[in-house]
Order: sequence, then C-alpha cells, then structure tokens
Amino acid sequence: MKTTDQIRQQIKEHTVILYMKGTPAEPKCGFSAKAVAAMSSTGFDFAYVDVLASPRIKEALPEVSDFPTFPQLFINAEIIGGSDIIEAMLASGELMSMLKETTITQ
Amino acid sequence: MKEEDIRRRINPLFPDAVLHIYGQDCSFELQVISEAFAGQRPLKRQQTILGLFKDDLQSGTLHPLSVKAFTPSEKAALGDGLVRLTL
Repeated sequence: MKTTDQIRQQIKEHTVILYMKGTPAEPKCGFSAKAVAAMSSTGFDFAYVDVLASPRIKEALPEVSDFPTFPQLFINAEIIGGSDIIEAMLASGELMSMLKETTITQ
Repeated sequence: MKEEDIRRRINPLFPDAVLHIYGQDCSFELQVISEAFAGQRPLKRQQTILGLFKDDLQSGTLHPLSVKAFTPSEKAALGDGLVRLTL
C-alpha cells in the first residue's frame, strides 16, 4: 500500500486523529504539546501517530493534507489544522461542538 | 533563511501584504496582513502561506515557522497597539 493510501485509511478509520511529534505522554515539540493539551482538555478520545517514529508518514502526510507542518489534526477525515488553529477552535467552542457532533454520528 | 528571503517568497502572491517577521536562522514567526484573506478560513490562510515554504519545512531549513494571517480590519480589531509578546 502506498504511504498516502495508508494515511487516507488511517484518517478514515479514526474519526479524530492527531499526527504529532512524540506521544501524548511525551510530546517532542512544543507545538505538539500544545495540541495534545488542547485535545486532552476536551475529554474526547483521539488516535495519534508519532511522525518522528514513522518518517515515511511524516514525509507523505503533507501531500494528503496540503499542510506542511506538525501537528496536524483530522476530524472525519478532514484536515482541521495545526496547534494555532486547534487552540483557537478550543477557545471559541468550535472544537467541542465538532467533537460532540462527531461522536453522535459515529 | 533570512528575513529578506521570506519577504521575497511572500511578495509575489501578496503584493499588498504588511509583513511582520520575528526570529532568525530557521525559526520564525510571521504575521501577514492582507485583504486577500477576506472570506478565508484560518486553515486555508495557513495552507497558502505555509505552502510557499513547503520544501524548507520538509527539509528542516525552517522549524518552526509560525504563521498568523489577518485582514487589515481583523488586525485593527485586535487592539489599540497593545501587543501580547509570545516569543
């Protein structure tokens, strides 16, 4: 399977998925740490991929998302954005309502 | 990368943009203020700007590059000259 197809499968199978540097318990970059903190504060579960442990995915993901930096959050197989956007959407309440909607339709 | 390189990359696409560039070497924070962002979601704005630096971000020549994109009226609404320092 091509790596881009593998990514498309991951974002389809996991409604909420964060591509990050490091793990939620041990983020390896301040921006990934911010994204994890924002996501954790919602109380919703999310899948994650450590792109540092998988250089293949790190290289191919920007092609799928048209977004060249990490972290990257996907909800319903759609790119939401990086840490700035995640934090802004948490503050505005948009992230919460999106996650609630997602779990209802799951 | 130098400030000038960043300006040269952004200018052709956003000739009207006011650019504020903070940082040096491979680590920068950009503020791009342009009417071109009107009606665009934050994701689209970041995709456009970050896309101009795709190869540098992939290779690590730039890391991190943080982008904040505003229209002039959004920027004006942010405050009366009080700037929160985040660097």
